[in-house]
Amino acid sequence: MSTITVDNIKTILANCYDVKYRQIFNGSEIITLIYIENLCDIKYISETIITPLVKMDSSLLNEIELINSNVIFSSSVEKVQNMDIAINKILSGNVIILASSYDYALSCGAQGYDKRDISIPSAETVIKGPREGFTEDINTNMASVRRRIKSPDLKVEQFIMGTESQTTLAMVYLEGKSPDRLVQYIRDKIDQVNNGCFIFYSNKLEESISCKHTSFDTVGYTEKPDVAVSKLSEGRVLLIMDGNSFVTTAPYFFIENFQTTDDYTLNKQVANLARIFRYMAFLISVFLPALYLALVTVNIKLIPSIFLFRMAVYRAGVPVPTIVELMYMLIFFQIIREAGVRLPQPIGPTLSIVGALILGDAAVSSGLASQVTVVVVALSSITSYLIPKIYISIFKWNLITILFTFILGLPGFFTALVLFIAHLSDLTTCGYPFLYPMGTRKYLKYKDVILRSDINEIQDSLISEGDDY
Amino acid sequence: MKKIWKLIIILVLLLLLSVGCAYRDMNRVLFATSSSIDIDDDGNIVIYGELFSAKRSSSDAAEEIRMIHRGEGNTIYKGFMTGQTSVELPISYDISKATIITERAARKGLDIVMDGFKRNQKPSLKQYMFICEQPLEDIMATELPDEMFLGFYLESFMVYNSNVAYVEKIRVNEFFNNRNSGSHVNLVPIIKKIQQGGSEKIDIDGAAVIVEDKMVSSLNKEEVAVYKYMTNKLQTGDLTVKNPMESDNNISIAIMKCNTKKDLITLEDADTVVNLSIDLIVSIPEVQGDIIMTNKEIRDKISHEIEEKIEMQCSELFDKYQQMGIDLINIERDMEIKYPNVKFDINHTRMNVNVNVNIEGSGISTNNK
Repeated sequence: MSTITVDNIKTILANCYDVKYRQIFNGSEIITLIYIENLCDIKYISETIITPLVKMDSSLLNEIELINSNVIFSSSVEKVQNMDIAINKILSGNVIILASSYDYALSCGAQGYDKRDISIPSAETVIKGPREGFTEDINTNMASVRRRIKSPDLKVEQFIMGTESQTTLAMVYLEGKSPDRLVQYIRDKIDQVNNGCFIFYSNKLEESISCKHTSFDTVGYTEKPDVAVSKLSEGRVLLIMDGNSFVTTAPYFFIENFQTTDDYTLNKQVANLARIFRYMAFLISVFLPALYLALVTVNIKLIPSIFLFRMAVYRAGVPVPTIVELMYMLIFFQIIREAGVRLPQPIGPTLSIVGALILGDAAVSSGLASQVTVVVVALSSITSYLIPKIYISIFKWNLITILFTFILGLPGFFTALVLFIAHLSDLTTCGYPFLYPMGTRKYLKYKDVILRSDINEIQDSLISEGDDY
Repeated sequence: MKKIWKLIIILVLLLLLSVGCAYRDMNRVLFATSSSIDIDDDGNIVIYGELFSAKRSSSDAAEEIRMIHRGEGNTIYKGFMTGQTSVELPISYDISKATIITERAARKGLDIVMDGFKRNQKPSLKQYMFICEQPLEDIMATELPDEMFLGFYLESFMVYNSNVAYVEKIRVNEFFNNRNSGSHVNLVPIIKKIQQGGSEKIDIDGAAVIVEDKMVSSLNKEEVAVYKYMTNKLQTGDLTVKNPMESDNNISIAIMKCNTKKDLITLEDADTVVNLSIDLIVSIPEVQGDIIMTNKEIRDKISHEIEEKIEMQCSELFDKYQQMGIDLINIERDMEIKYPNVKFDINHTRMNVNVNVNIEGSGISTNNK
């Protein structure tokens, strides 16, 4: 381990033009301040560090504690004797103070870089409820959480992820609420994945925690602090990574896809009705295309005859089989949706409208699709907007159910339905069943599953120590 | 990898255990809405199918087309197969709404005609059955003013008009049930093509009496209504009786509710006595002349006349078919249930009819000319 000297630091941080070396002469002593200009508040450094050091009596230079307590006004000052720590402090936006006669350094907190203001999250809109969102700055995000839970039980464990990126990760949980087993499980997972040089996104960690071989998210995320703290209050663990504008929540259950902030801020009856719509929309979006295929190609007896004839007339000019027609219309809609998501904000919705209206109408006019197929695919796609977090999973299961139905008709459809339920039942999240609390053998915490009860009845933790599931 | 194998095994098992791929596009099929069956003088079975086809058109909208196709063969299946040679697309009888059988075929025996419905899973057992006394070509050529397809017309008629007293309805599955139980008697409605108001119409004109799969007789409209009194099938109906205050005028009686109970008694001399108890709730929707409904004596007279009339009609119909050795109202089935060890003989059966009429709904009706 090399001694902390200016020369050694210059060697390590060579070719870094943004690293500044400011020298101050005080008596016979040369004091060097090392910092990265873009990460620090220059005015703050001038007022709280440089000015006091210039005006300082040179006799104080021999007493490090006196400099710390009487000279420097910076809010955090600490003694650093390790070169690696010193470098890390510089790279994190601190100012390192070196004197020629010292074999150690002082680190002063002076971070001050531009960051995005707190804004309204675009993906989690609410009718009634807080609109504050997370930003990319971990300290701002932590402040948002702390501001809502003023409890000493709120624990924040820090991890440094990536040997080169040195990204800060905070594991947040409520002691006494979150089961120790869960906290330890996530702690172990963090240690396991912390082996790369560069970790910028929390997805590396999420992938290690979540279930493999499924398109359903078994680890959740939120862009809203109020949602994050409500998850905390239910016993979950938050993972806040610096540079990410969302917070990872674990465990994440299937029913959470159907829950929104409005469910708990709006009138109970209204909220429950909206939630029923979401469940219905999910069933429609996953199963309607396959059910339609079964009815129009295999089990036609189940369609009222008048409607059957009308559909046959609509299909008269379509040159391809129904299965092909259904598949390419579903893929068309997915492509339009994907384009709408990726395009810049003002263009995206326009493209969706153009795609849905013009392309759908044009497909019918050109004889590529029948009206009923367009209605079915559009209905399936629109209903999947009600549960946006799993729309890709819905599309995947659309294809699976269609395949089974194509082969066997309604028996195939029901086989795919059983497979779907079996798949969901097979998934786990942090050791809990993904269908929890529905997939439990013990006490069913049903008061916030399909319908929500009164708020004061559902305040108990969803998961807690000693749960048997 | 294990999961993939499991999935493959499930798929293979399902394929083996199911009927296999039954995929077909609805616009690549000709749907039969009704089928008509006749047996010609040579004993060949002649089948007519009324088909729906969706055809592309030069305009944007496609068209519904009605086609009649004909098949012939010594069996009903062969008839269907020969019919297939004259059409472009496969014919599907899955959604057929009506089966029309000629009187000639019915008198020769429906066992030959109906066997295909039992053995083949495709034709719907929910379709209605009809007997036609006119040539099938005429019936199938009917151009109804309000419905393109005869099958749909007949189905709608049976669904929405079957509570009319003069109409007896029967589906194929009910026909099979009746032919295998009790007296093996079925009543199948008779249809007739008529000209009315300048257009062609289909009229329900009584019912054919099928015993042991052979048509032996037929009931006219009035007899169908009486049959429905006796078998507790009547929901609504009408009667006409003389106005007790003005004997030249009539009163219309609307039957609002009819409840018939059949009670069987076997006597020591091996005779069977059937006690029919018919409870009627009626109202008076129309009176020719004057009538005072608050007068109990007049009400009793009306009730008495209704009771007498129905008792007489029931007895006449029962006697008529008893003389032919036919158990029209299927007493034998009730005997099988109540007295399984007693042999039933229609010739040793007596019927007592007791009608109770309750007049409701009318107040004083005078000077309504």
